[in-house]
Amino acid sequence: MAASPAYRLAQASDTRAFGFLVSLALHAGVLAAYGLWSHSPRLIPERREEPRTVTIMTLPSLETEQPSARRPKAAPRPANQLTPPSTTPATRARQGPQASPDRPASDQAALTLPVAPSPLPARMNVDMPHPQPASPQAASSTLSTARAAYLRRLWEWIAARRPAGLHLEGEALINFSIGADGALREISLAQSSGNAQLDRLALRTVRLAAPFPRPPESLGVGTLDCVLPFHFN
Amino acid sequence: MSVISKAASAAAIFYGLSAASAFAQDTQVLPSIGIDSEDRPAGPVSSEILLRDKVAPLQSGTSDTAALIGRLPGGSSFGAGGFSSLPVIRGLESQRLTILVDGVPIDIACTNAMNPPLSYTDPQTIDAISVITGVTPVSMGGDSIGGAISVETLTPRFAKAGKRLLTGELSTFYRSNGDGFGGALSITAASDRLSLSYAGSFTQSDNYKGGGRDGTVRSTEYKKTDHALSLAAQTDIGLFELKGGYHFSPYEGFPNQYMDMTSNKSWYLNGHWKGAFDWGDLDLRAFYRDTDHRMNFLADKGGTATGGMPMNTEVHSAGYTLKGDIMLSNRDTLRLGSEFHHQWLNDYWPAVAGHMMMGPNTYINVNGAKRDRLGTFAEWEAKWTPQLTTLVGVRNDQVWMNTGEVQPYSTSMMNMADAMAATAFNAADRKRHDSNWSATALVRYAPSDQATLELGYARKSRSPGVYERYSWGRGSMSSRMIGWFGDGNGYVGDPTLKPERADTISAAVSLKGAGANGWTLRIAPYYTRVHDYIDVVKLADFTNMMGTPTGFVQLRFANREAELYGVDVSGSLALWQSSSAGTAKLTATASWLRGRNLDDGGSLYHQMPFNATFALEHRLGGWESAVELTVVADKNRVDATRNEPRTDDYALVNLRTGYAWGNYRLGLDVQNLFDKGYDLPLGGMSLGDYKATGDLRPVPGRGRSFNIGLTAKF
Ligand SMILES: [Cu+2]
Repeated sequence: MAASPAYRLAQASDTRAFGFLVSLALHAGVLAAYGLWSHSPRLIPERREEPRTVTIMTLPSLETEQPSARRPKAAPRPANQLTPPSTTPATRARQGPQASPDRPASDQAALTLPVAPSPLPARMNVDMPHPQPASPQAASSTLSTARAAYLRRLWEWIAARRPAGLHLEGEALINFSIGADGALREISLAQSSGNAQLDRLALRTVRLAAPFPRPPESLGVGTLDCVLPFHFN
Repeated sequence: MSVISKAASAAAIFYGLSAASAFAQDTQVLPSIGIDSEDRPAGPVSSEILLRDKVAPLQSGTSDTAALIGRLPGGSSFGAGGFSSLPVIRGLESQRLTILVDGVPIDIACTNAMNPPLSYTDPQTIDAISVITGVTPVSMGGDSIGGAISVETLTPRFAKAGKRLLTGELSTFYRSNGDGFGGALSITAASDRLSLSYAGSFTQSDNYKGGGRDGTVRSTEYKKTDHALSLAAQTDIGLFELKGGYHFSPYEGFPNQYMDMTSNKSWYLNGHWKGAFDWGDLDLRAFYRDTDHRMNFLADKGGTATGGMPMNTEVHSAGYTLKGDIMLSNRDTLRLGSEFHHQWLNDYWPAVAGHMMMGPNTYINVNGAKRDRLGTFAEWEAKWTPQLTTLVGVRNDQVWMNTGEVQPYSTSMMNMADAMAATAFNAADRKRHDSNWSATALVRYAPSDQATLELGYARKSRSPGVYERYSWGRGSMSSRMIGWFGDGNGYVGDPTLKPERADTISAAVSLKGAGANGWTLRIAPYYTRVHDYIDVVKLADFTNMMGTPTGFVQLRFANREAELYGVDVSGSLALWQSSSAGTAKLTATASWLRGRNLDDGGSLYHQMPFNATFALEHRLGGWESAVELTVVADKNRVDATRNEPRTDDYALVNLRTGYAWGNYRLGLDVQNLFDKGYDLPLGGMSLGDYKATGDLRPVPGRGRSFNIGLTAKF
């Protein structure tokens, strides 16, 4: 076990020289890459933008059903504005009712959507649940508010049960209907995401969220038909 | 199910029914539910996750993944080689924890645990590190009594629908202390269905210098490289992944061991499939790994010109883990799983030509030891209300172990102790079978957005490892080759060791203030009682030629009774937030614990003294900085049986700043700004220095180091 520093010194200087060259090459690579790319910005793929936060002030505010759930998030993209046949553009263009006065303002702040800078924030509102076209009667406006509030609650109920992503992109549309008792009556895939896995996740999420909160009797409906898009990315 | 089965004719029937209904309504269009794959489900309250963006600023400071665990509340690490320290969670060392890399375990192939699982990862290419410090659900792994560490690398990425993706990251760093440098490249080429990724890294360093007047700490140099290639496919029947990798380290000095690593080669192949079904999810992983490990002396310990002392280890591991999440209802999920883990290990020390003591035969330390484990678990998760969740699980692990006959260098007078021990070992029954039961129960209650309370109980079991049961040498030298404690003592195994059984009660309260300028506070106390804790009893004092004790002792692994308790606290406070002055926050973590050997009333070995870290973090645009103060109390509770050294208290200041512009990031940091000299509380004895100078001291911590890192994403 006698010492022989020469052995390792020889070995080490070889390996170190190699390592140093590799390091040098990497440094040079980074710098070269910088030089190259900074002169041809078009080659740089789309950068991840810092998410900006838009607060929607016009939504009917509700007590949050799921304090522990992840923050509700709507995907701010054109797909969001899909118009199923039965909703009229006029309805969708209207703004939702103002926040009920008995709700604390902080509830509104809680619904914040990270969006890319480009879409107009105003577009964000069009897909939120809206009442049916207002009729002249005062009762109708109460009904609208009640329905919007219920749909909002329903959305949060399902969103709180959203699955983990699969690192796959796609949008699946689920049709489902809710009975007066809150039970799931019908469910179907209205539009496939293009991947059976994602479709299954979306269907499963709605199915497992049942039974839903009971629709308020004031809505006076038998079944409530809904379309819910799931946007995976 | 019946509703679903109609999905084929879905739309038509649905609209038809709606229209026919007397109560037909217009269809209500709900807003889209966004599911971001980067979002991770919230883990237990006493858990931490370090994502890439948190790891990246630290990668120029350390190549040791386990050292990052030491930054978390409740975490610390046994000092060892420069990329091989052994993580500790709440006083329980790595072999008592569940450690997974890419979802699979990695077997240690070394009597000194020189190649622990995390040594096969490099902070430069890590996507995420998750750590559970409290009660670890049975579905997270068996054959462990403590927390869990899970490291993810090369997470598959796919292009957006119909697109192509070419992305990656190139990074490099330099550390002034020890002249360390390294680099890494990760690159992914993908379509929306197929993804091919490569990640490679290398790093090397000379001996580092201790702070103050501590001088060079011998045997702290290292060099290694890791490569991994992964192919992933998204199909209609799930995600398939095939990943293979190769690791090579030509040398790694161990300041607190008699030996150094002179070569470690390891390759692996992992397969993974994950499918989503109407009833739930299935996740299957299979793995194979082959490691070839060699030890001898690097120059600081005398080199190998005269042969040194070669010690070789080979290990093969293979196994699978299968997990199924069955969604029973809105409230209940049933998780079932099965795991098999096969380990085969050979450890032999070739004779040294012309050496009186180390020859003429090969010293067979472990002869084809086998350790097979079959784990089975069932876990029930129930979401009673949005505020209240419970998780109850039970698990069984069957462990079968056996090993072949052994042989000393010779049966001469010089090797008499080993020769007698080998005879006894070969005559004894070495076959073992343990049936280990575990159970965990967790309750989480979140009365509001601002508060979460978690309470957990665990009964966990762990069977002894190959070296704990089957190390047999009783000679001074042969026993001092065994042990991952870095203390210079000799360790002897015991085939009759019983599995450890631990009962843990753990609580965690997490509070946070509302609003953007908020604060967070988490307090997590715990108590663990370990039955048959594998500690040591003293066999003999080692003596020099003159017969005087050297201060090192020969110990035998033995089942003792132990308890550990403590509290981890962490918090943050937002200081200001403005567009011109950026955002600033203060963060703090602190850990206090006690580990007691109930048989002798003394302290358990290697228990981290009270320690706390305070950091002031500032961010303005792409500019991010931090000032960090770490304080560690003196370690005066030591294990007398092992002659554990006391260490003094110390405080270290670290600075860190980084600027990111576009796809580039330049980081600069100074570790140990004031070049404070200090002894590592869990660093063991500086045997590399001892061999060269004859002076024995605890291993000193790193002195000041200026680190620079450069990263380019593309
Ligand atoms: Cu080794």
